[in-house]
Amino acid sequence: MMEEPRILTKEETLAVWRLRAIQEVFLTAGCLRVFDRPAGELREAYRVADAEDPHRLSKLIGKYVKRGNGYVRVLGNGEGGAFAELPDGVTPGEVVDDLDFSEATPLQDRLRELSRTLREAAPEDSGIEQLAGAVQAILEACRPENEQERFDQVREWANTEVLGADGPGDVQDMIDRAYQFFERVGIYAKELQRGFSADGSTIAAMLAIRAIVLARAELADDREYEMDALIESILYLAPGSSERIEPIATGLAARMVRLGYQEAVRQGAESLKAEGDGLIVKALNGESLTYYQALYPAAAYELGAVRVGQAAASATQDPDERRRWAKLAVNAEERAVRVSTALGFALQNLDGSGIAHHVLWLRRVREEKGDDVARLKALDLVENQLFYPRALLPVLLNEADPSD
Amino acid sequence: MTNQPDPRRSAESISTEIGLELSYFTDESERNFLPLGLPVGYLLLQWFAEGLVMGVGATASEPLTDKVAVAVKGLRTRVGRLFSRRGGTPQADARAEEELAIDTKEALDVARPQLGGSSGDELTRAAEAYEQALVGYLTGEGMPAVDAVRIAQRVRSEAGIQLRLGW
Repeated sequence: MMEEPRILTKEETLAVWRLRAIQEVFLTAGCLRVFDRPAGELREAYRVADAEDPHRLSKLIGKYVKRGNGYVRVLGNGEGGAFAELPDGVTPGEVVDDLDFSEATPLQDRLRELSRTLREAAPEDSGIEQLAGAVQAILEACRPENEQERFDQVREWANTEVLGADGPGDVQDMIDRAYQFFERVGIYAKELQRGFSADGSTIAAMLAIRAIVLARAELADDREYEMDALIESILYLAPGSSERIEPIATGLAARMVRLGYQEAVRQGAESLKAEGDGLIVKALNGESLTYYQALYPAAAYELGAVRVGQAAASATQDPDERRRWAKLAVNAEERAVRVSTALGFALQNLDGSGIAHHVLWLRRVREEKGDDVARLKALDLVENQLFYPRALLPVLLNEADPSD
Repeated sequence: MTNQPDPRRSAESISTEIGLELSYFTDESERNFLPLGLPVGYLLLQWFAEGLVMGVGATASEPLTDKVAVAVKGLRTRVGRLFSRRGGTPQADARAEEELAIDTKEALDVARPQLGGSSGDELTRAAEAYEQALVGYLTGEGMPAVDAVRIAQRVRSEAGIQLRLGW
């Protein structure tokens, strides 16, 4: 017998509200930072527009839609063709420019609104106050110069704690300092990720540099080579020639491939991928309540593998190697995109409507095509689309014990 | 537990093991590949079963290594054919799955009696050669070795279940 539902106490209602607020803050910030802010805002702007008018794209078939500095021609099968300029003969009636969301900031707007609501709703609640403070910090880290400042911090450590540091300066001393530097970069990347204080692409570049340089050092035959591997790379990133760290990561990977350190680059890229893949699996096997929080960090590792793979593919002269690198990069990108899509899906479905919709859909599939097909579709939502953790499979398939 | 062979269950199991690694089977520009997870599971199961039959029949004039090399080429062609269909529709994907399910069942039905009389050593040698070849094929497509080994082991183990071979 199922128990009668009971009315929640005031404390319980507040606890549920708090949990939902934490989830909303996390997912909004996650969608904003998983790749980079412009990409996150643009995707969210499209999602909002689609939700408001689900048929908007079908109304645009054959039209040239302005996007960024170019145009996308929407085709009937859901695909699109990109154009830098309008082809000859296109008439003004065929061009649509009111879908240009390049200036829209729906995610930051949502965070601002959340910050205001949180402060108003529970001024006496220290937990909520703390959450509102965290939202404020996330918003402050959205300044245009934020990503450069994060890279400047890494460069400063490289200059003051390795290259210009006091000490004997012998081989062992330099090796020790270099390892300390890379350990610090690794911790910093995780801190930035935890606080949503940098874009995924910035964090991915830090992780990528760290992975390929450490792999090269590990493969060095002796201490001299080990030092060269570490210090050469730090010398590559320390000067202030670039505002962003991403080109440094790809430049370093390409340079290493050109200099013959392909094996080290491969090892570094695969270690990034293994970390990202492992985090995805861990999230899938973990708690439902913290699933998306566990999934989010995987994207930066996958993006790191994308950057390294793409750079190596462009640097190698061997066509087979190029193909292998490209495939590694595509696979990592695919995973990063799925993590991002899963976060977007969760943000859109905070009220649980998404899972309710999927449960009904799977029930229909089961009625029409049988248990096996329904189970495969449910597995696809979990294992491939990453929308839910494995613990929710019985719920999706309506096999969960109601008392669970 | 059932005694009835169930190739679909094995193809699903291989497909789940492959999961998001499916992109390595296809050209980098291809994105809409998820409906092909199960067909790839069937394809690998069929390829492995056919390989075992060929492998246990290896002779000095036609050694196992030559047979494996030919089989890998064949695998590349079959995978290419599966993914190269343009404008893939759900109907086309369903048809590919159905055809491969039939072919796989046939390959398993043919292999079972043929392998029944083979020695354990011969079977193990052939299975190892084809498992290794699959690892080589997958790493050659850019897949990290650790994932390639995991997938090849799953294919071998599922083929063993369907062919009722104990390894």
